[in-house]
Amino acid sequence: MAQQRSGHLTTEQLSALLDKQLSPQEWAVCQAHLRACQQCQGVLADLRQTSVLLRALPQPELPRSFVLPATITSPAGQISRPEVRATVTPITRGRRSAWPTYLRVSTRFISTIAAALGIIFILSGLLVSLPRAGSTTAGSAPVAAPSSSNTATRGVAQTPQARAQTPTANTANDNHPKTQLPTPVGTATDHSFSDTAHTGNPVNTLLPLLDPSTIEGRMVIGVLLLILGILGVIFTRRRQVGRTSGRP
Amino acid sequence: MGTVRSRIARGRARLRSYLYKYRELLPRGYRLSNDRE
Repeated sequence: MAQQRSGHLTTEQLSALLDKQLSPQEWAVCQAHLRACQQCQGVLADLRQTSVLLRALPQPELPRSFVLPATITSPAGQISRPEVRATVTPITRGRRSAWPTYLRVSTRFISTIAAALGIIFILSGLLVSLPRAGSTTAGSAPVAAPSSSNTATRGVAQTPQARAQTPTANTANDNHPKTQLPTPVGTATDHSFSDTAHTGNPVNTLLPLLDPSTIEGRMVIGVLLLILGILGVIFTRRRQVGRTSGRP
Repeated sequence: MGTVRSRIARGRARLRSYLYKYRELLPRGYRLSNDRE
């Protein structure tokens, strides 16, 4: 057994003695020396107290578990010893993703498609609105004429509802395929009273802003889909693993 | 295991030296004692 030239035990030997990592022969030699050497006894006591002080420190919260899986073995097969695994306690991760992998991947895929559809809706709304900008003023005048006659007839028949009916003239224009123009929101809200008589879409009566047949509806739908898609991609991204830290 | 034992031994020796170097900063119950006191 190797010792210092001065005849005392080395720090490595004393540490191994403290950790019970010596062979029976080495242990016997160290014990025999310690019985006669006060200096080595003092160093051993210091090392023992140093270990005690270190274990008394508060344990920091580790970012992840450092427990090796049972399937991993060293070339010599020493790590797979059961006694080694029994002494190590697993540590749960601080920031653990609660979403299963398949759910996160599918949500990310759907969010991407939603964002793409949103962009398509926005572009379609923009492309449709550009050529119609020059033709809206010409198309509105002849269409207004028959609607005004309708309002006149309705006004004669039902005077209390005349004020309510006059906005419906514009609703008739809205239901006409040629007159899908930007109209005031107030007029669109009156669809619920008289639109059922026409062949209009019931959705328009409840959610006029989400009507894909109108330019505003397409834009609103496109923006909503784009926002939802971006939020879904952001929330389903993978988070970085925390930094590792160790104790001496 | 030999490398691990060596590293543990070196770490303990260095920590022991550090504790001896700054003994006045530690409470009495945490100070290392030796025959040189």
